Amino acid sequence: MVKLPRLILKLLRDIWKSRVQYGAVALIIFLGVSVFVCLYEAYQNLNLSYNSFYDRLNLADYWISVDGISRNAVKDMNEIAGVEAYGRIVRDLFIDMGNETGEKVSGRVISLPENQMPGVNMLEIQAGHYFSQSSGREILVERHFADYHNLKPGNWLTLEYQEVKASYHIRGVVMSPEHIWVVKSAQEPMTTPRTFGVIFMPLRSAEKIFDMEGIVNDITISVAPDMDQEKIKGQIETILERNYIKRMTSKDDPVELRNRRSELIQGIRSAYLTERKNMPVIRLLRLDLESFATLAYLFPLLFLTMASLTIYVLLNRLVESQRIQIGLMCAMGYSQGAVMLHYLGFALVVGSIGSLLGVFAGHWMANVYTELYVSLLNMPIIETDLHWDTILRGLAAGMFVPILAGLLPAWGTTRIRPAEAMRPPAPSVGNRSIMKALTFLLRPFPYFIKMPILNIFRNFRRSLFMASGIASAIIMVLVAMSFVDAVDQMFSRQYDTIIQYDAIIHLQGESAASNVSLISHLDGVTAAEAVLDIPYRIRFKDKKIDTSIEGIPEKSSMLNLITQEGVKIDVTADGILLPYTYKETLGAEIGDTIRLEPLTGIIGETDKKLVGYVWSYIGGRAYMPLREVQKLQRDFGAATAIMVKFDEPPSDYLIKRLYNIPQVASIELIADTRKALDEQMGFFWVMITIMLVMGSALGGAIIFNGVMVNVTQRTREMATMRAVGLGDRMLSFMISLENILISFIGIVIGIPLGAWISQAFFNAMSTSAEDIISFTLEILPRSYYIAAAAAVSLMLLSQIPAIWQISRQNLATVTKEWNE
Amino acid sequence: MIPSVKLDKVSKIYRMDHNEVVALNEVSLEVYPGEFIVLLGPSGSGKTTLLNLIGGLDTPSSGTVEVNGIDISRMSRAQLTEYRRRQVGFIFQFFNLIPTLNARENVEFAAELSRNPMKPQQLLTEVGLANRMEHFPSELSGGENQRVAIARALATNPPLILCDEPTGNLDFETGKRIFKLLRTLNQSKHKTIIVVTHNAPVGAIADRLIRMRDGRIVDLSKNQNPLDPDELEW
Repeated sequence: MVKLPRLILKLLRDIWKSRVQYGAVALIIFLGVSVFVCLYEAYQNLNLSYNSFYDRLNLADYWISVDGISRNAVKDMNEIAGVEAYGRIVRDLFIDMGNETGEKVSGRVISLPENQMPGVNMLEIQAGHYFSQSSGREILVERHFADYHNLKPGNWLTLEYQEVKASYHIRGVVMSPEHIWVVKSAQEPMTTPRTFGVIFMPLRSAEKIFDMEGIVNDITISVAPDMDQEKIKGQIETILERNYIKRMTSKDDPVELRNRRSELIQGIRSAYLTERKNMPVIRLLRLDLESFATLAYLFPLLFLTMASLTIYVLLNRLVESQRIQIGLMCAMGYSQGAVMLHYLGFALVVGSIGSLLGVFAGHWMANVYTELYVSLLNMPIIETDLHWDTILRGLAAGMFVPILAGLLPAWGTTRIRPAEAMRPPAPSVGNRSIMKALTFLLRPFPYFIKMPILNIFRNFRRSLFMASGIASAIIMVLVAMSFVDAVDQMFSRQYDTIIQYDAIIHLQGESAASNVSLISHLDGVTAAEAVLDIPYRIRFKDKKIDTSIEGIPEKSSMLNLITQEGVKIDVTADGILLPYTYKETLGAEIGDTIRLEPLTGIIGETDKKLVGYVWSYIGGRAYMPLREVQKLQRDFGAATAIMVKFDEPPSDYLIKRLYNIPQVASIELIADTRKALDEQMGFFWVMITIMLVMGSALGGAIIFNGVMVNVTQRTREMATMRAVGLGDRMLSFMISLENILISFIGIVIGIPLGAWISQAFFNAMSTSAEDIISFTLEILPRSYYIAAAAAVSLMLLSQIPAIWQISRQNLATVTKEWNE
Repeated sequence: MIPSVKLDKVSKIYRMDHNEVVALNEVSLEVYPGEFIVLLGPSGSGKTTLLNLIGGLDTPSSGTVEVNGIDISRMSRAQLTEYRRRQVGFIFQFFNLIPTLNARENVEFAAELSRNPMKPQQLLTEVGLANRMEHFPSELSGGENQRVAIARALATNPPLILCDEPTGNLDFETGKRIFKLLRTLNQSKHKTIIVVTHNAPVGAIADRLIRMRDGRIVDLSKNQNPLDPDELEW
């Protein structure tokens, strides 16, 4: 058998002797490292999975939207070396769900070749088959919509375009790389499959429905990786020019509308180019992945900071309690370096155990997490890999942090003079003047009250460590709760405060505003207001955002717009209201003049004064009075939707009547939308639960160690108190009182620090996609109460082993042995 | 004969806040190889300080401490470590054993530091603990613990053994057995042994008796007929 050097044996035995305490530190390191490896590997796996999925289905690099272009232009584009282009028809229509109520939802039709899948944006067939090339009306349904409405191959679906209905046979259910998440537009990123679906149909059918024979309005382009992208863009522009599209505009296009208008007057048409990175779905996925990466760093940072604090205190306590052993080692001839390394060994062993187990568990969890996440998206490809860079980073952090924390106490051993070490240290008495003042103030109190209070100040550093444990638990709970609050607030503000209507009825056709009067007079309808939503580019100086402007009645009773501070704000003829999420991107202040350029057509360009920022979290659009938007469109009867308030939940009869109104395209019931969104949040709640459990484990481990250190440092003192006749119950009370008082210090430190760290988390998670989605931190009072209560409960639970240990002390031994 | 330990006008002054405490005041002393010396004196007389200076656990404020002709008071910390490792074995009043190591391991703990260590098992057998080697300090009596400490002090085979109140924590009979053991080691292995105690009758077993008071040596007498420890009475 291999004989361990005795110094190492001592190290291992010492650790084993206090295994629960060191185990708790190892647990904290384990949690920190495993969270890091899990989240970061999940991030890498998901990146791999997405990219692999994109590669397999050849997701386009560019999308070009035009009003219409000959399919020959696409052929020409395919002639460019390294380019694969596919021209298609993309149009929105309505899907009749076939209910008795006549329910219709929004749909987007994308054309596909009849014979075979396109080379770009290919589909993954999940059920059924591709088109049969028969003359029958066949469609493929995107999986999210099919799953939600339980549509299967063989079913029939009725599509409605410009009031003409036709039924189609569902040939297959498919997944599309463009629709991993179904996003209707940047303004409506949280689309639910209940109200929006993507349908694929043969090009010939689409040409017929939309009357676009030989013409396409959307070109998807895939470019080989090693090609000169700019050169290719130039070649594409040349082809577009040949087809009378003289300008290719994009999100980053600096050309102003006035130039486009003059071009339009000259008959120059434009195309809109979107790069893959700017596609709303890609931006949202990136946002989601970025949040993984951010959390992967932030959470372990918190864990490892706390772990280092615990190790520092534990090792300090160890060095203090082993002064004589240190002196003895020096006396026996162990060098300072050997002694220092010995004590650093404690940190190394604990760090190694925690981080090794952490990387194993983290790697395993990353795979489970990836599979869970990918299965939620129903992606057919899961790529999990062993990411050595992450494993090594996790190991390094898990070992480096404890060693760093252990350096100071270990270095402290070199300052211990053997001769001094042989003498017992003087008991800590704290700051004399504070202790004197406290003793005076506490005169009227009995000893079982007085002593716990005095104990806190007797070794204030020890008390502060305990308080930091409480504070860390509070921080973890607050950070988790701040996410809960943010989501709660987000939904509550959106659906309880801002949206006062029960349904929004989408309209089609001209002069649709006239339907307001008709609808408002229906039985069961309390009120109705028209809305006009027009796509616009908003420009301020050199900054711009492509969005839409929604015209709503002044003093609207349906849309209760509020400022970031929650104060009600109305649209006025003086100017425009912008969502708060645009503030950073645009940089415009209230009172500044904003340029408005319509994204479709050439009428409606104007300058408006920015009169306020309104609160918004997802999507967001600009608001103006309905009359003003209608005026810009030179159409005072225009409306795209009607907001409706019902007397009570609408009956099927009422819904049916609404659908029977010719211009009604679809009806979105807010209650259903909210329910669907709640269902989509399932994964988020799992994350929050994990955060809370881990936060509690971290807080518990730190507090447990704090209490153990607190008690073990005073073993003799407590044994003496028991020896002179203090009962177990009284001793427990005194320990509890001291710990509860320390908890209050922890709460005082933890609450503001927790709020600050939560804010830092939110700031760190803000990304480039802020104009699409933006969370606002607002911690509710309940979260502070929950965090404080959780911390105090953890403290009371964590002290149980220490109290148990005291009650089991052998009084004779403990009172005799001063050195241990 | 050349002294193995020579102290020349050694003083040790401790400074605490604005006060100075003179623990040793210009003490001079010579110790010869193989001597068994007892340092006697009341608490605070400077016995332990003197022992610590000889053992290289502390450095003098003034004066020199020479061991085998080398001034250890000028040594660096590393040199002092090496000195203690090769030249000195310590025995303390509270045994100072590592509680997480058993008797054998405690001795091995020291033996590992030496280039030619004594065999731990053999040492423990010599001190009468052949059957208690695998026991932890908490499972041993005070006398047994001290015998482990003696075995540990011998493990590196040092020529000088320094004992600070080795029986201060033991009963009379056990204390006598410890002194018997020390005397035997002194005679059989020719170890130089200096014992610090405040127990006056112990002086009777020494080759030389040094009495200290207020940091000074007040009496230094040679014992012509040292008593066998078995004959000790106090």
